[in-house]
Amino acid sequence: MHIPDGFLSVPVATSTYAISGAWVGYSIKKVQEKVGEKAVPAMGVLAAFVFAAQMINFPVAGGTSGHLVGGTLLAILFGPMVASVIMTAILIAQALLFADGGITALGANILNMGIVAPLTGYFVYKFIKKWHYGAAVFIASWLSIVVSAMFCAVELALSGTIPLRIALPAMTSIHAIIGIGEGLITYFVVVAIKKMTPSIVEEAGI
Amino acid sequence: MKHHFIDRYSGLNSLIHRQNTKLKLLIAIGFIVFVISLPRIDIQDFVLFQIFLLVLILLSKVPVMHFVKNYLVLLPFILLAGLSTLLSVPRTAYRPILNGTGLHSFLALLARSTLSVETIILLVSTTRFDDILKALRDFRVPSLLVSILSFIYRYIFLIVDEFLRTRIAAVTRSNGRFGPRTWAQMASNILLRSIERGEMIYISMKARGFHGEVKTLREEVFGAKEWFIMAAFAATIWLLWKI
Amino acid sequence: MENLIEVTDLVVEYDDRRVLDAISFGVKANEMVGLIGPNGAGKTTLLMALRKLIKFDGSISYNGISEADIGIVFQNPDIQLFMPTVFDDVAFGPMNQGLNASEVQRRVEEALARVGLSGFERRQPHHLSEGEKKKVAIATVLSMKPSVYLLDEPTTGLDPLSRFEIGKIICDIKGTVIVASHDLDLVAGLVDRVIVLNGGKIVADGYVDEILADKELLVRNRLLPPDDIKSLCRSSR
Repeated sequence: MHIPDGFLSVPVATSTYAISGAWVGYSIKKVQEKVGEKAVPAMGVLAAFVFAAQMINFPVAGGTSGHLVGGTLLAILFGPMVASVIMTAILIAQALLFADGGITALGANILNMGIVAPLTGYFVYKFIKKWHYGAAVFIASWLSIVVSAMFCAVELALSGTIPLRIALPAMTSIHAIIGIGEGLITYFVVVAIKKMTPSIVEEAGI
Repeated sequence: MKHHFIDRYSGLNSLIHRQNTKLKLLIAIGFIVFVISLPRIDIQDFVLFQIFLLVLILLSKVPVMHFVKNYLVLLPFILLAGLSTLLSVPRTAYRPILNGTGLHSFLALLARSTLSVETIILLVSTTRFDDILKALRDFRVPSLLVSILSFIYRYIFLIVDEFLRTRIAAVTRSNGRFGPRTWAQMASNILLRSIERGEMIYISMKARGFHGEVKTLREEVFGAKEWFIMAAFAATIWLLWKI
Repeated sequence: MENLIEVTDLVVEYDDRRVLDAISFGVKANEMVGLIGPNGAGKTTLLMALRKLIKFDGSISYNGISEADIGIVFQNPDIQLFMPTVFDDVAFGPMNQGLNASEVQRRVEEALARVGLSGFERRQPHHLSEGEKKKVAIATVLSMKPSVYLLDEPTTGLDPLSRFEIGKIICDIKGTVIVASHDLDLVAGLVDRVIVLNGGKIVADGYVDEILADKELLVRNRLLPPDDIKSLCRSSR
C-alpha cells in the first residue's frame, strides 16, 4: 500500500502532508505530555520491533505469505496517538532506507497507514469490545487495512492517476483479502500478550 | 547474521560520500519534487535525467547492480499500480502527458517513480544514516521522531536476529508447520522482551543524565561551498529539462 | 575516615519479592570493592539502588557527592549503547552534563583512548565485537569523569584475553570502584576487599585473600564448583 513518488498530484501530495503533519505534530505533543521522558526509549524499541516484525513474513494458505502492518496492534496496546507517532517513524525509515514509499507521497502514506489505520482500528475495537473481545480485535485490524486502502484509492483517483471506479473496487477487494492476515496476526498477538501480561492491554489509552 | 540489509554502501569513500549531508538531502528531495511536479515528462527528459543520475551513480562507486536489485524489488508494486492506468484512459488527467493516452500516462508514471527511487537509493547508499538523523534534527524535524528513527536503526538488527533465531526454534518445535498462530506467539515474546528492553534502556539513559531530550554533537556546516554546489545542481537539472 | 557511600538496612522489593534484604555496608573514597555472588543474588539490583535508579527502603547516604557523580556500566552493552554511533554514545553523558563542543570532543577521544579504541568514533555499535562493545560501554561512563564507578559483570561472555584487557582498564580507573562479577580471577587481581552477596543478603565482607581461600564459603554460595568437578566421570566410562 506504499504509494511511490510520481503517483500523486501536487495538490494531493501537499494536502496530505499538511493533514498528516498537523495530526502527528499534535500526537507528539500529547504523547510527550502523557508519557514524559520515557517516550524516547519506550517508543523507540517498539518502533524497531514493528519494523522488524513487518520484515518477517508469515505463511498464509496456498503458499502465499503476508506480513504485519501493525497500526491497529499498536493502537490497541498503546493508544492511537502512540501508534501514529511510531508508524510515522517507521514509514519515514522505510522511505529513506528502502525507497519503499515515495518521499513526496510520505504525507499520504502516513495518512493512510499511520493515521487512518490506527484510528479506525482503535475506535472499531473500542466499539465492538463490549460484545466480543476476540471479534473486536480481528474486525478492527481487518477493517483498518480495508479503510486505509480505500483512502489510498481515493488519493490516487483525486490525483488523476487511476479513476475511482477502478481504484476503489480493486484496492478494497485486494485489501479485504490481505486484511485477513492482519486480522489473524493481530488477534493472536493481542490474545498472547493479554495472557502473558494483562496489564499492558488494560492500561492502554492515548 | 550479516547486518547488511541496511545502508550497506554508506561507509564507502567517494566524491559523493564526502559531500555535506544536508546538501545531499536537499538536492535529493529537491530533484524528486522537481521530477514529480513537472507538468509533463517525455522520453527525452527521462533519458537525460537518467544519464545524469548514472553519472552520479558511477561517481559514487556504489555497484550499479545494487541499484538494479533494489529497483527490481520495488518494480512489481510500481507496475501493478501503474498497470491500472494502462487499462483505463483517465477522463480528467491531472497531467496530460504527451497525447494523454493510457500508455503514455503509464510510461510517465514509470519514469517519475524510477527516477525518484534511484535518487533515494543513491542518497542512502552514499550517506550514513546517523548523519541523516543529525541533518533531520537540523531541519527541525520533531526530536521525538528523530530519536525513534535513531532507535529503529540501532535495534532493528538485534530484533530481526531475535526473530530469525526464534523462527528456527518455532519451526522445529511445530514439526515444520509454521502458521500465523506460531508467528504471533513468537512475535508476542519478542514484543514483551522489547518492552522490557525499553525500560532498561530508559534506566541506563537516566544514569547518564538524560532528561527527555536526546542531545548529539553536530559539526557539519552548510557554507558557501554547499550553496554553490546546490545552485550548480539546480542549473544543470534546469538545463537538462530545457534541452 | 568517613565513608563516601553509607548503606544502612537497604531493602528492595519487586512485586512482593524481596530482592535485597537488610543490606548494610560502607565504601571509602578511592576504594575498589568486589561484589561477588551467583546469578540472581541481587548484584545488579544493589548497583542500581546505589545509584538511586530504583525504589528502595532503608538509607543510602552520599558524603560530598551526588547521584550525578556515580557512573554505572550495565552488564548488557546493548542497554548501555543505545545511540547509532560510538561517538554519540560516548558523548551522550558529557552532552547532558552541558559541556561545550570542544570539551565533549576531548572527553570522547580521551575515554576511547583509555579503553584502547581510539579511532572508533564513527563505528556503529551493531558492527562491534562483544569485547569492543563492553569496552565502549565503559568509555560511555569514563567520559563523564564520575567519582564513583559501578561496573556490572564487565567481563561476562568474553574470551580470556579480552577479560584481561578489561581488567587492565579497570585498574587504571581513578576513583571509587565497585565491580560486581562472578569472575573470581578478575576479582582476585583487582580488589582488596570483597563483599559476598547471596539471596539478597550480605554473606561475607572482608579481605579478598581470606574470602577466596574459604573454599567452603565459595561452594556454599555457588561461586565455585566442588573439587569433584575434576573427577566427574573421567576414566570411568
